[in-house]
Amino acid sequence: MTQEILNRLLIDRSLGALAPDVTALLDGYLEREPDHSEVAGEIEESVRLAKLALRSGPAIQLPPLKLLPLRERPPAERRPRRAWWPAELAAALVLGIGLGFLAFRPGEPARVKVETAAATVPIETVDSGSSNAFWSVQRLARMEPKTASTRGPRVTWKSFLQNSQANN
Amino acid sequence: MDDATRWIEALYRETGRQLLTYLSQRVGCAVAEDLLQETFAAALRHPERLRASSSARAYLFGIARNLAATASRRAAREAEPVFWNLAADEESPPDPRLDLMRDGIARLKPEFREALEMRLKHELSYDEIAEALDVPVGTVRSRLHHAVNQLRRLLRQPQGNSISEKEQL
Repeated sequence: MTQEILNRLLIDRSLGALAPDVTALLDGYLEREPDHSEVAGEIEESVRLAKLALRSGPAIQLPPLKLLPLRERPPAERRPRRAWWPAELAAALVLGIGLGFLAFRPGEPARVKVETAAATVPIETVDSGSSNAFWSVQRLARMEPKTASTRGPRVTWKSFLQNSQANN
Repeated sequence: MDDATRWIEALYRETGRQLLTYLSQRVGCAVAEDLLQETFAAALRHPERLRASSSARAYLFGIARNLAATASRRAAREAEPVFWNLAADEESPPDPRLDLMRDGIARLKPEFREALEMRLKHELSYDEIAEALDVPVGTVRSRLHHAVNQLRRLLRQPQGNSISEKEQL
């Protein structure tokens, strides 16, 4: 038996966790090998002192058991729930102000206004041949900043009023 | 009063004092009584789990341990639990090595100390400790062996040459 295995068995025995038959075998081994008796004594003494040290302390009185069902507990015992609405209201305000600032920044033409203007220009005024005309490529190139509407194909809409004017 | 409540009350009489001692050492007497009540209230909420456990005592220790850990975290006392200011017992025989041992136990790693306390003080079996701590039995055995070996090394040292204050065993 190696020293390590012997130590494990001795510690288990001192902690009272060794089966009786194994304890008897271990005692027999220690009788045959008295060199190990010193180690066994040290372990036994360590556990005995640890037990004494741990068990010291004043006796504690056990209070009566109070098994109140949860629904019968007074409200004070329940943890107060945090109000959620101030934080959400503040977040909504910040988000709204931020989006409003981005949508209506001063000094920049709003996309909505440009599209509205394009839709309401009478078709007779469009002169695609002139460099300063409303639908000219040069004018489109000057428009800054470029928005998503300038990158893709543009969809135009003619109102009934425009159609009737064009037919007349 | 139903069967579950009667059973819980019997368990309270049987294990309440042990659990209260355990909790008092972890969170202090003021909180321990509340946590003890909460432990048994939690057991009553799920009596089927208590019945299914291999040891009701170990199951209750497990609940108490979790509640104590939560309370300690809340009070920011995890690092220095009340437990390990072990006072000398006036009734115990005077032995200078006992002070050394108290000091040594206080400086054990928390997981080693906890297993040792459950075994020597509350007399839980290895299996019960494993259930209460939610670790394998082999881990419990290993922790106990480490603890005993370290305390044994401490006792071997000459009396005036104890381990420095900062060193943890």
